[in-house]
Amino acid sequence: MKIKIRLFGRYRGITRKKELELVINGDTIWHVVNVLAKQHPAIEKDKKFIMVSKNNIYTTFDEKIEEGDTVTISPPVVSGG
Amino acid sequence: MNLNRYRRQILVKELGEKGQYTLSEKHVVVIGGGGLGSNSADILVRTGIGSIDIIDNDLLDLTNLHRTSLFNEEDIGKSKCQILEEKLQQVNSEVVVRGIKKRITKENIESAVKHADIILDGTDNMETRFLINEVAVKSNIPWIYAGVHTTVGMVMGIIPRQTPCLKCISHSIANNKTDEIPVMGNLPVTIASIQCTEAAKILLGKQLSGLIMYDIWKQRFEQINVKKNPECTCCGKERFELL
Repeated sequence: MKIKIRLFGRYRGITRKKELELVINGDTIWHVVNVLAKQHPAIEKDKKFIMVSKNNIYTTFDEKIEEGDTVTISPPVVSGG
Repeated sequence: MNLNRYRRQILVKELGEKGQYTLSEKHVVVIGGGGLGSNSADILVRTGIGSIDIIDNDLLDLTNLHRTSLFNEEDIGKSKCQILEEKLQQVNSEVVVRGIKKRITKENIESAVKHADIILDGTDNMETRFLINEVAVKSNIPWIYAGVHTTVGMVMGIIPRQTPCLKCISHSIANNKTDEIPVMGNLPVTIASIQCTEAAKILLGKQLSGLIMYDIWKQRFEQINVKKNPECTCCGKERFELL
């Protein structure tokens, strides 16, 4: 199925896009992250810590997705002070 | 209150004289007195907040100086919160400034924030931030998350039960509290300034800006509108596992 992806932070630089569409063989956000990381290896190293949302609600990687959903991919929360 | 001191900011319509009086009645607790906390405390004291507690257990180190504004070389080795109390009291004698030398723990955090109208995050680790998040949601006290890393800073104002909490947005984050976190020197004061603006909005009952990300190197500013997660274990289910 086709999923619309919105990218923030450094992921816009890595993909050179604000939005893109991915074809996913799977039904969770984790599948989306893995497809994206495969296409853009720079994402691979922090893929476990990426913040993800489905239709603007931040959620977990195991969240189920359906055709037409929008998934947001944001950098991990930063923790320095 | 000497309104003449604030004359130029009272002219700003978003604040005005009424807003200035409102801020002068508020109590802020800043947890952490380093790059973020010291700069936010400085901004709030100059803005004319009513009273402020700055909680930090550390002594000033040479490596703090590149990202702070109030500390000098002669302060190295002294308590950060005590230096801040002394210097900020000189900045604005109308504000009640208290430096509290303690490490925030699950045992003392509820008493530390119980009189706060708002809590500002000036910590340097996620463990304490999640503790703040839980106590803020449990006690219904707004708080402002802020963090910095390399050239990127993030800020999010959190009003319990109205806006997403920190746990809503971050399920799987790296807790790098043992690492030495790289930070561009001028980033914390910039992020502290954004944090204080979001704090003023909450105290004045204005609309927040969601999750804010700023890259000071690329000069890229992004806002993400986020929604509450109804399944959030903290603000959704009200399970306070850290307290």
